[in-house]
Amino acid sequence: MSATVDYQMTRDQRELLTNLRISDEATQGRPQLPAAEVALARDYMLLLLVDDRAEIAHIELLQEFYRARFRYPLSRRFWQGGPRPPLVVVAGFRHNQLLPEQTARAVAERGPDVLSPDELAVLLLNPYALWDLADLIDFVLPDYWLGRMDQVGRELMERHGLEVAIPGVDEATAPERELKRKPALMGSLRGQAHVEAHGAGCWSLSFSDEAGALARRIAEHAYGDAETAFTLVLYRVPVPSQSDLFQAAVEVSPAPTKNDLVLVVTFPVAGERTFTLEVPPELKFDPAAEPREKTRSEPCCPLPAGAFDLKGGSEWRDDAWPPVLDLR
Amino acid sequence: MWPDDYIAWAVRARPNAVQGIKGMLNQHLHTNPQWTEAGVAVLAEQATRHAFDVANDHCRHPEYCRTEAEFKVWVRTVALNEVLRLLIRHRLGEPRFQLLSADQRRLLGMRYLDQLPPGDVAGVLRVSADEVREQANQALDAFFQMLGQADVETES
Repeated sequence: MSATVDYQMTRDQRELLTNLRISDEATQGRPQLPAAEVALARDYMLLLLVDDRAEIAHIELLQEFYRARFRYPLSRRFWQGGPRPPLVVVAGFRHNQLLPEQTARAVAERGPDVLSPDELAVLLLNPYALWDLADLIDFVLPDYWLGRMDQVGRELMERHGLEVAIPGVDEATAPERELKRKPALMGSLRGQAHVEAHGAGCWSLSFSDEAGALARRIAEHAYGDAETAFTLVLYRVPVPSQSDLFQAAVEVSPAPTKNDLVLVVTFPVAGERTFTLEVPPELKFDPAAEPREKTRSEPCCPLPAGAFDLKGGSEWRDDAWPPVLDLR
Repeated sequence: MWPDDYIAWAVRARPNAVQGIKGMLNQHLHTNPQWTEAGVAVLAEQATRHAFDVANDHCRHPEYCRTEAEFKVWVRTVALNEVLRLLIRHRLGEPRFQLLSADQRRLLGMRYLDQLPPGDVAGVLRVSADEVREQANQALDAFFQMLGQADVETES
């Protein structure tokens, strides 16, 4: 079994392949598919060509049969429009030529029924042609295969609890969707910030569901993982001997581990200040060092007291990087 | 027609897009036990979500995608570029990226971190766009080969 793919072929599929391998040896490369197994082989092909787990398990069995290692080529998505990179064929696999272009196109458009039993038998023992056919189908997305591809995708999402929110569907109500489509209002909903006071001089800064993409981008940038949870807190710091002035600082938990995080905040009546939340120096020198629980920026230039008079409606600015928080 | 059909198209494109991206990654990563299928699936999810975020933003542009088929290909392409960016930045990806030659890192960095098209990369590097495509694909192939190998040095 593959190192990371938890997938088992069915007994019938394994027997089908084992018998083909025996036939391949006995006939010196002209494997025969018994008539009673043609339907099973076609059904199996329908799975193999759209489900990477089945394909990987299948190719691993071929590797065992032929004592060879298959190297997955680069998908045509990367080179289509230019010359095809040379196919690297390793010794060992008896069947290693790609299908003729016309045959491959026919399977992509009309399914495995276009293949004769003999063609089907050879194809099942040929990792190169199988991979290439699956790649072609994945690239062209033919109508014939779309239903099966969608089904495999739905099962994947269910198996791993993936959600893949669609903005406008999963993250907003219908009236909000209508508003979002009006260009003049674009951005007024997408980036709402939750600014919540926690005692005097301390506010937590968080993200509405609709600003989730920005939160993920920040996490990906600061921690190298978009799913890392983090919190931001804004502090008001008195300026010694100047009772009408304050400084601000931003704290992030946990401290960034990947890249410094720069955050721009615009304050009411006072304009813009930039805060840098740095990767702790020990992590910069030694990535294996223990991450810090939190870190705080340097205090910014002094602000008048009115800069912290927050009435609500703060927003993360659309499409801004570094992130910009407009406090209101 | 776009953008009125965006939601219906996106709902239908979603499972296929996630599966396609995950499948492409899995082919190259499954030989490395440091990757789990769930981890690869989450990368595919993030990349697809990014594509939908971009698509949603394009709702302000009428006829941005003219057919559902065109939209499906567009989603896959945007998600694929994004997943390569995520992969290069991933804790298991970046150490391997650093093992590539400087030329390979420059090419892949400009193509997938900066997301510049080959023509723009060609302008920066003073080579032809065809050379950029060819060499970037060679670099990507080398990167995938490294990603498929467990490497004790990357794990502390």
